[in-house]
Amino acid sequence: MGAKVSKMLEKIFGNKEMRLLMLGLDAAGKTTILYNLKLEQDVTTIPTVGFNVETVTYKNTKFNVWDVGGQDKIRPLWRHYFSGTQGLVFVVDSNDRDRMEEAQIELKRIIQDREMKDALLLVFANKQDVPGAMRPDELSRKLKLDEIAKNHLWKVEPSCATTGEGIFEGLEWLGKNVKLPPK
Amino acid sequence: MSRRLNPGADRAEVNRATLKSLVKLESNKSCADCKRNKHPRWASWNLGIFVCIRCSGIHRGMGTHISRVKSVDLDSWTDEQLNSMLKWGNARANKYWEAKLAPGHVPSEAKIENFIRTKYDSKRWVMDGGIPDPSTLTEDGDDDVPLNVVQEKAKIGRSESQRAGQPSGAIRPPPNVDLFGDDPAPVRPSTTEPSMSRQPPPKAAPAPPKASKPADSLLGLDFLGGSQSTPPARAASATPTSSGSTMPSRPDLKQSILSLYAAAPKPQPQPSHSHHPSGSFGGMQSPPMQSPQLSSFGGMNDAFSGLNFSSQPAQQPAQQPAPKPSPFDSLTSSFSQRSTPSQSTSTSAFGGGGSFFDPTPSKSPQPAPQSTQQRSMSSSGGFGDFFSSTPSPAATAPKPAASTSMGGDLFDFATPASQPPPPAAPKPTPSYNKASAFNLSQPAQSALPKPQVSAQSSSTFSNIGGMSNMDAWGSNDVWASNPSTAAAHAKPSPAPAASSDFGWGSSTTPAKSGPAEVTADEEFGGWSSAAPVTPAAGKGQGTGTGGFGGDDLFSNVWQ
Repeated sequence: MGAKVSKMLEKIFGNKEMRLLMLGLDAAGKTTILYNLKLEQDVTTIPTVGFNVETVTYKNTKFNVWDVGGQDKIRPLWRHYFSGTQGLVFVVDSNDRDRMEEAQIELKRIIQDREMKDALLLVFANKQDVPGAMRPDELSRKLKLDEIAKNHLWKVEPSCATTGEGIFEGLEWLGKNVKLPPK
Repeated sequence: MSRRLNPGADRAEVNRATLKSLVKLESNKSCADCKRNKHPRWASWNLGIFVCIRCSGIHRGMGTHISRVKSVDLDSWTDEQLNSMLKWGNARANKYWEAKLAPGHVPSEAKIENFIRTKYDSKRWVMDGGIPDPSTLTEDGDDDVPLNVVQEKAKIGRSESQRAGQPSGAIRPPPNVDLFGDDPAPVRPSTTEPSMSRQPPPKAAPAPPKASKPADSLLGLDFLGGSQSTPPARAASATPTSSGSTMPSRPDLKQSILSLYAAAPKPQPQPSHSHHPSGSFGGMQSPPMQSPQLSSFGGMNDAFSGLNFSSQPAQQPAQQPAPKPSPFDSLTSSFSQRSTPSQSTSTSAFGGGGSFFDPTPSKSPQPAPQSTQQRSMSSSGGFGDFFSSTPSPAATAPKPAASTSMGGDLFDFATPASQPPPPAAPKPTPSYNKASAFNLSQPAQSALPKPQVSAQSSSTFSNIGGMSNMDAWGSNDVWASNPSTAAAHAKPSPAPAASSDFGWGSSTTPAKSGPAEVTADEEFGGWSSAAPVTPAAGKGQGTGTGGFGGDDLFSNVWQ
C-alpha cells in the first residue's frame, strides 16, 4: 500500500532514487564532498577508514551516496560496493599531478568492471580553488576518459568541495541522466 | 602505485617493515603536531613526519603541495617516500619546523588546525635559512642516532636485499632478552603509565614487552587469525614473506639500533622523550591511568563509533528525522548519544576535547549551531566523534551499550592479532643487543607462549594506555588487516570475525541475517539491513560510517 502510494507520487512528482558510489584516490576530497552535500558546509575530515554513507535529496532525486576510503590497501574493497550502483562519482585532486596516472588506472579498473557497466560516470575535478589546478578538459585527457569510459555517459565537473562549488551541479547532471531502474 | 605491480610488491613489503620499525623510534611515537596522540599511524611523507589521524586530516586539507599524507598501515610505500621518512622523522622535522617555538610546546587542542597550518603553510616557526639537510639537525639527539643507523641500515639492507635474496640470514640469530628490557619498557608502558615512561625501571622490561606486544598485534594486521591457539604458527605463517626475503634489511636495522642503545644507557631512550611533552602528557595520561577502562572506551567509541552505527541503522527507520532538519537532528542525536555514553571517558581522555564536544550537541539541535558543528566535527576531541556524529543520525540508547561492549570485544579479538608481531620479532632479532628500539624483537625473545598470554591481558592495557585515540585506531589497523590479510588469505573471514567479536550486532540489531556469510553476517545483517533501509526507505539520513566490514556486509546488503 505504502509502496504503491510512493510509486504514484514518484510518477506524479518525478521523484526518484539513485545510488551513487563515490571513489577516488585517498585525499581526493570524497568525504568533504559528501558532507558538503549533506550539510552544505565545510567540515574538517579525517582519512576515511571504511566508508561513509549519506542520503541527500536534491531536486526530486534522492541520492544515496556511498563514500569509501581510498587508501591504497583498501581499494580492493571498492568492488564490493559496485553492485547496484547507478552512478560512479570519481573524485580527483586536480592538483595532484603526480598521482594522475594512478587515478587513471584505478578509474579504469572500476568503470570497466562488469557490475559498473550501466553506471553513469561523474568525475569531480576537485580542489579547483588551488592555484594551478588542472581544468576539466586536461583532466579528462589525463584520465583517458574517451578511451576507458567510451561505453559510459560521463562528465567532468570542476568542483571545490570546501566551498561546495560544482558539487550540486554534478549531482544535477546525475539526476537528469539516471535511467530509472526496471522495477 | 606499486600496489598492483608484483615487482613492486616485495619492495613495498620491505618498505612496510622498515616503516614499522621507524614508527617505533622514540621520537616518532607521538604525533609530530599535536604531540598528544601516541603511536601515530599516519605520515606526511614529504615532510617526513608521523602524525595522528586527526592531524593527518588537517594535513590533507592543506593540499599536496604542502603535505602528502599516507597511512602507515593502509598504504604501500615507495622507496622515495620511505627515504624521506628516514631522512626526517618527527624529531628532526620539528627542529626545523618549530625552530622558533619554545621547546616542548604543545599546541592547544582546540587550535590544532590553526597550529598546523601556521606551522607548515605560513611557516611561521621554521628555522632561518631554508630547509637544511636533515642530517645536520641531529646534534644532540639520542633518538636521532638510531634514526641515522636505521637509515643507513635500511639503505644497506635494501641494496642487499635487492641484490641477494637473503644475505643477512646469519645475522638473524635469536635475540638477547636482556637488552630488550630497556627499550620496550619505556615504549609501550609510557602510554599506559606516565610514571613509567619518564622513569622506566630497567627491570620492568619483561612486563612491558608484553604490553607492547598486544599493541603491535593490533597493528599487526590479522585479527582474523584471531584464535589464540596459534600464536607461534601464526607468527610464522603470517610474516613468512617478510622474514624470508624482506628480512635482510630489517635485522640490520635492529642491530644497529640496538648497538646504539647498548652504548647508550637505558635511560637514554627515555630522555629522548623530552621531545614529546611529558608534562602535558602526564595530564592526559593520568586520567586514563585511573580509569583505564573508561579511557579505552573513549578511544573505542571514537574509533568505532562507526561500528556503533550497526545498532543505529536498525533503529534508524523509526527515528528518522525530517529530511531537511534532519542533517542536524541526526548530528545532534548522534552527538548527544555519543557524549552520554562515553562522555566521562572522552573528557578524561582528551581533557578539553570531551567538554568541547559536549557543548556542540546541545546546541546542534537548533539550526543555528551549524557553524559550531562544522568545527566540532573535526576539532572536537576524537576523530571518532566525527565519524559517529555525521554518519549516525539514528543512534539511540543501544549505541552506548554497543560501544562499550565493543570496546571489550575489540580488545579481545585484538589479542589474537598479537600473533603477527611475534613473527616480526624473529626477524629483527639480531644476535646482539636486540633492538631495544623495536618492540617487536622483544616478543620474539620472550618465548612464544608469552606473547599470547600477555597479549590477552596486556593488550587491553596497552590499548588503554595508548588510549590516545591512536590505539583505538590501531583497531583500524586491525581493520586494515582486512584488506591485506583478506587478500592474502580468505576474504570473508575478516568480516565474520569482526562481527562476532563486536557482538554489537547481536545486542542491538534485529539482524536481518545476511545471506551467505557466517554468523557474523547475521549480526551484520542487522547492520546491513539498515543500509538498504536507507536507500529503500529513503528516510534514513545517513547510515553509519562503516568502519568495518564494509566488505561483506555490504555485498549482502546490495545483493
